[in-house]
Amino acid sequence: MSSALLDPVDAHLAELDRSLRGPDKARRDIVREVRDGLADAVDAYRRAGLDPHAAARRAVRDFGPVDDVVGLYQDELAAGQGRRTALLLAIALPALMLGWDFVWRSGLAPGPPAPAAVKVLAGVQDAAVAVIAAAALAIVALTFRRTCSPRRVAAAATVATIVAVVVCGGAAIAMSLVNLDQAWGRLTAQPACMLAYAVSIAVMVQLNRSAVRTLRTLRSASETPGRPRGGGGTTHTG
Amino acid sequence: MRPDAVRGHLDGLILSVLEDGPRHGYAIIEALQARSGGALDLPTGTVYPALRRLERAGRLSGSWSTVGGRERRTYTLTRAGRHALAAQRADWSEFSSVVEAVLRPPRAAGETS
Repeated sequence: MSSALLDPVDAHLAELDRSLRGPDKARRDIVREVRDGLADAVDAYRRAGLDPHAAARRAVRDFGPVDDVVGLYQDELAAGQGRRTALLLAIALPALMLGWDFVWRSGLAPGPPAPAAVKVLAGVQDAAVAVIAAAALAIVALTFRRTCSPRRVAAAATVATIVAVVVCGGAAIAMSLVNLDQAWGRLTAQPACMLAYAVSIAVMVQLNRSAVRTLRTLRSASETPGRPRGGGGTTHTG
Repeated sequence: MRPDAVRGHLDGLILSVLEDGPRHGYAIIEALQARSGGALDLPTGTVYPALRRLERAGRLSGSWSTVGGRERRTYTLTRAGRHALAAQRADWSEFSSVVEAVLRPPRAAGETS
């Protein structure tokens, strides 16, 4: 069906829905709110005596072109998803480190002392977790600043997550490879280690998924044609 | 009033109309128009993303509730929002008095004596 045959409000909402990129729930929430607002505007014009179609057209005209608001909404979708990713990073990464620490210290995974290379890699991993978690907390704090650039914050969250997965995941794989016999023995015979490996993989997968979601809001934010003219995300401050 | 002129002040104007209680999006738009005597004629579509931006910044809290038999997203001013509004009022008062002092036409020489 051509959009010209649709109710003007429905056509406008469909265009907005098509133009936004981001998590389904967040997008649906935005469209639902705009639908309610336009319905209120139509009701007001009908109470003023306009026929339903004219009232719908006026409500849509008052709203303005979808292109003019998509960039503003896309900024919020990017900032929201960036905040979620950074929060996940700030919580899950230290929790994972403490979990493994508990497994080693509690005696749940007995074995001979680790080789020197493993100790060095563990040190690198601990330092990386501390730095990345601190950076992630700083990113979360930045998302509360009204004047921050949402796209930069989302990009920072994506980069921090990629660094975390590469450095921490890479160090974990390297530690297992250096000490392959013991690592394999623990993985196959010690339930606490099996659980720790499974949780670690799940966390890494979840971090990756969150980073990809953030990257999508970011890419579409920069591709969105309706950015405010002559300015970026920080121009509309008040 | 041109929408461009309002854009930089939209956040403060929104906080201001929420000072006396929670409102949903369209009620905020109506309040902005009513308080400005209809002079504030900005595209209503720009108000909704501004509400999301203020919510992200912790100045408003938004939640879905049933108002007048219809589900609506209602916004409430937070404590941080009240502080931001007070700061914005002070800034505006200073700014407008400075601009007013400069823009005011100089009085003719004869009037001063």
